[in-house]
Amino acid sequence: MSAKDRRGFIKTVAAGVAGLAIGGIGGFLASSMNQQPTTTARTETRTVTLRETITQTVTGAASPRTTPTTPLKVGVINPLSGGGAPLGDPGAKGGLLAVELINQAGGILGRRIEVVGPIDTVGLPDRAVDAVTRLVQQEGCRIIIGEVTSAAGLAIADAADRLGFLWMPCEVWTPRVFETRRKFTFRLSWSDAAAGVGAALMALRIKPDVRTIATINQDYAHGRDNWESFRSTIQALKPDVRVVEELWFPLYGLTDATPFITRLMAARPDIVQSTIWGSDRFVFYRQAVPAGYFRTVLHLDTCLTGMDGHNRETWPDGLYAGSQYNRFYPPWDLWPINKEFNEAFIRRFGQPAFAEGAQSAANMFTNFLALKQAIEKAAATVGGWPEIDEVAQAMVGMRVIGPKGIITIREDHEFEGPQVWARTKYVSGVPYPIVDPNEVVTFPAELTVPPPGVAWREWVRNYKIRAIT
Amino acid sequence: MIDLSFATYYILGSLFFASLVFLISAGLNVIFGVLRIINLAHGSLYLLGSYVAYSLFIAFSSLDRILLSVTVPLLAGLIVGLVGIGLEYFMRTVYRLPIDYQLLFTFGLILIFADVMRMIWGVNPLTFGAVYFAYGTAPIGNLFFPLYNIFIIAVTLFVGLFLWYFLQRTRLGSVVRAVASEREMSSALGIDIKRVFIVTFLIGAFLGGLGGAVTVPVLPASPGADINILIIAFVAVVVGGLGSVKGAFVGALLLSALRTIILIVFPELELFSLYLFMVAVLLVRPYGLFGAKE
Repeated sequence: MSAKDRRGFIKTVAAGVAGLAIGGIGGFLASSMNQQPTTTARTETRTVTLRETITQTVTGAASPRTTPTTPLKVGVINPLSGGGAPLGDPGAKGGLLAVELINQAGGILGRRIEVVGPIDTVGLPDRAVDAVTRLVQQEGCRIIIGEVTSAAGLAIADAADRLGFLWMPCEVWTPRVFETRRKFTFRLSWSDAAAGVGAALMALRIKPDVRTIATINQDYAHGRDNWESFRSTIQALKPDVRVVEELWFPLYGLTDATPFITRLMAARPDIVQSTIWGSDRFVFYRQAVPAGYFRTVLHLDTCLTGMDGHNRETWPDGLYAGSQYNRFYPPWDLWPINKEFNEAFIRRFGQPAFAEGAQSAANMFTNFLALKQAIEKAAATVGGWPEIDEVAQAMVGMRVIGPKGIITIREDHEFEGPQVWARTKYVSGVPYPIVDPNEVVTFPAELTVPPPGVAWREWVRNYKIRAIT
Repeated sequence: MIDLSFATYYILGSLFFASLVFLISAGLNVIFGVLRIINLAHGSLYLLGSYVAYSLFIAFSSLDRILLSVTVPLLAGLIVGLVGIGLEYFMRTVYRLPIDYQLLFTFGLILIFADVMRMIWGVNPLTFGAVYFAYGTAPIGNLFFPLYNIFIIAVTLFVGLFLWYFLQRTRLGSVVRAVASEREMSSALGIDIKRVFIVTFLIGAFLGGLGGAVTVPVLPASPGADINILIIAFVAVVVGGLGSVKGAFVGALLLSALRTIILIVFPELELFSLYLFMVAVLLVRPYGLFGAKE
């Protein structure tokens, strides 16, 4: 990796922490564990100390809250069957791995985490609401982690506010989740709004004179929002860009893709945007490659997060892939936590989280790291084991260090992190196309993530390239 | 506008989709025709065929790809057929029960199959593209049509012919037909119904497994594929008429042609139009186009 890339990496992934020494996951977990509440409070700003005094007067200093001796029950949900399982299963494993490592390092403030689940939601709203209701009412969980599909995610976010549990999804990209103000939902995976903007920026980078665009997507919140964000952004920057084809099919519903491929090729768009995921993408790629699709069309995939494993033969070359994480990015040499996370995953489960499942695994892992950090932060503030709304308050503004780099949790409960784009190609010695390491492009969060408090639709419609300070 | 090469592509694509649908619905229909059981787990047999074929492809990946594309599906179909015989043994408990018990029973089988397959093959979509690519493509204007899709169409025609020949021209076939139309009378005439049931289930499961095996180079084997394919196959079966192989054939062709037209005109209505078509057929002919009035 060149010096230039190194600088780019520091700027995006490790923003603001250049020179920070991280001693690997084990040491990292243990060191946070040893941070007694008072120590953390000292390192925090004055505001926290102030809040500490306020809370103490409210709760009464005479009865300090003790850490319960029972394990902390955390519900884990994800699609473990059906078309969402390729993400849901590695996602659940990433979560379980985090719990095991945290427990080995002494738990959260000495309290062990007990996972209830993983419970299979099949990615369906009704199944997901059933699962979280049962976890809250029968198992007494006040924290639930996981879920992949946007369809189920919208239902869970409502349930979280209604039933009063803290929820952190595994994926669930639709920006609609935060169109309502959420008290208990925190999303550390990225949103379709950001993904679409990133795709638009990438489109202009690879084809500055783009005039026509098209899309093929799964017909539900994720596909629709991703496309809307892409289309609005690119049309805001280049008003003469025309949409020449829009194709939609039901989630997990693709069997014969030939009519879709034919239509896309007949429309001759300059750029095709797509965010198909799961089994549908395999079907599409498999049938698009021999049809000559990727030879004639510049295809931007905003949902591709890994290029290895069983699925490798499916990937075409000449494909532009964007994501927020892939197994080898952040680079292992520069960001050892990512290396350690992946190695620990292989040690525990015998094989890596392949392809797009890698991001789900990293997201779930990060969710648990954030949870631990938030509980410790809240405990320092309130002087004892915190209530769930205090944990939620502590989440805001937190910086979480994990396999994905360093991410910030904003006041609107979304995370801020960079976006990674790359082109796939054949390199010598590898029998299938991989992400070209020399063509990795990162977009910083300021360029792609709508600022807190701003409606994402308005933001993308009036998108301007902003100068980054 | 659509020119000739696009039209050819669409027609071939339509035949390809019809083939996928027929391969799945044929087995479903054979089993229903004789055993009068709606085997919801047929989608599971299909997916099992895909997984078994994947493993066979990997195990013999050094052999010639074209040879593999013919032998592996037959072998996978046979293995799934044997699983089907085992399944038939358990099915006997529900033969005489009302249809809701049969549906519950076979639905339970879907869940069991799904979990077992997940334990064995995991959750990642598995596919063997080398076979698909070994066939190459045929240029049609500016487009390229994958020749493997033609292979699938050919396999489907062969399966259709085989079923017709077996049922209409062989002795065992006429016995099977006799049992299908007059179970008690056939029994009274000395036909071993149990054996006919086993043979039927073997054929039905073989067809399901063969369908899964033949398609795994195109459609990855992954959790959920069992249900997806089952729904579409059911629409074809209902349109064509439950229990009629000819119905399944015509149903698949009609359904696929309709789908292609809808995809050209208004792609968002793909699934909706298929269901609408099914409802329309059921309103006019409740027993399907080729089904027998009961």
